[in-house]
Amino acid sequence: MRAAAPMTNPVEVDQPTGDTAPVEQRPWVVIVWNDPINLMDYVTYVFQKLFGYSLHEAERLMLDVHQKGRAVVSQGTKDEAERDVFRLHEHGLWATMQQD
Amino acid sequence: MPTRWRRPIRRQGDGRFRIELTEPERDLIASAGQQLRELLFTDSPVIRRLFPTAYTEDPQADQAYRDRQGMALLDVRFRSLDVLDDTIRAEIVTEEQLTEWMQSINAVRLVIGTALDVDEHGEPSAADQDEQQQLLAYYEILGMLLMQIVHALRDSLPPGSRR
Repeated sequence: MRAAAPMTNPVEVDQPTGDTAPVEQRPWVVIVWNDPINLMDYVTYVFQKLFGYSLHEAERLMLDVHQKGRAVVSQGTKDEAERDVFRLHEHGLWATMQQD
Repeated sequence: MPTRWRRPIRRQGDGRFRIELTEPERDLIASAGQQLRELLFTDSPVIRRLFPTAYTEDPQADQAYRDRQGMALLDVRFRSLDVLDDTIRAEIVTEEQLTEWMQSINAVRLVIGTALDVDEHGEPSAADQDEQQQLLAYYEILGMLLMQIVHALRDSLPPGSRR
């Protein structure tokens, strides 16, 4: 979550924002894809256990995976994303990562 | 007077789990683990499901991931199977041990489901032969056991993540 933005506009903006961010600074996202084998309750539990999501949020993500085919479950640096992908693979989920 | 149904796997007050599975259920899980262990020594195509692609858009990065993490993922599978072998007859297991059971049983389901080419409804693409029907029954029983474990392990999640 981002820190609160200042209430007044700075005179100069020295941080790249949004679409202008260099590729290497864009976060990596971890995506879980739907598969017909993993059980819904199992996927929900894995999301809660690995990422600390509430039951409500974990179920929402699980349903996104089930109904939309995929859901972004975490984001961060490349190393952080790869760690999360590995943990999801440990649990048998079909997870991939890509730069946002 | 009807017998009150109790969950066969449930969390105790000390944080460990009481296992009240039948011997045939324990035999089935042990056998599933043994079969997975044997398959892990082969290059069977169904095993590939346990080692998914990490980078779909970058084959070179994906190969590098496999080089870095492939053996670690294999070690995870064997570690889980070792714990399963050591504790499958136990009446009480720790959360860590039950988690290894969960991962092994889920891995077996992934392999069987891949072999049967099941669809979203858990139906195989073709299960008209006796052998495939047996495999499907096995797959479904493992699914029920997996759910028993997941429902028990949920009780160990921090309170904030249970709502």
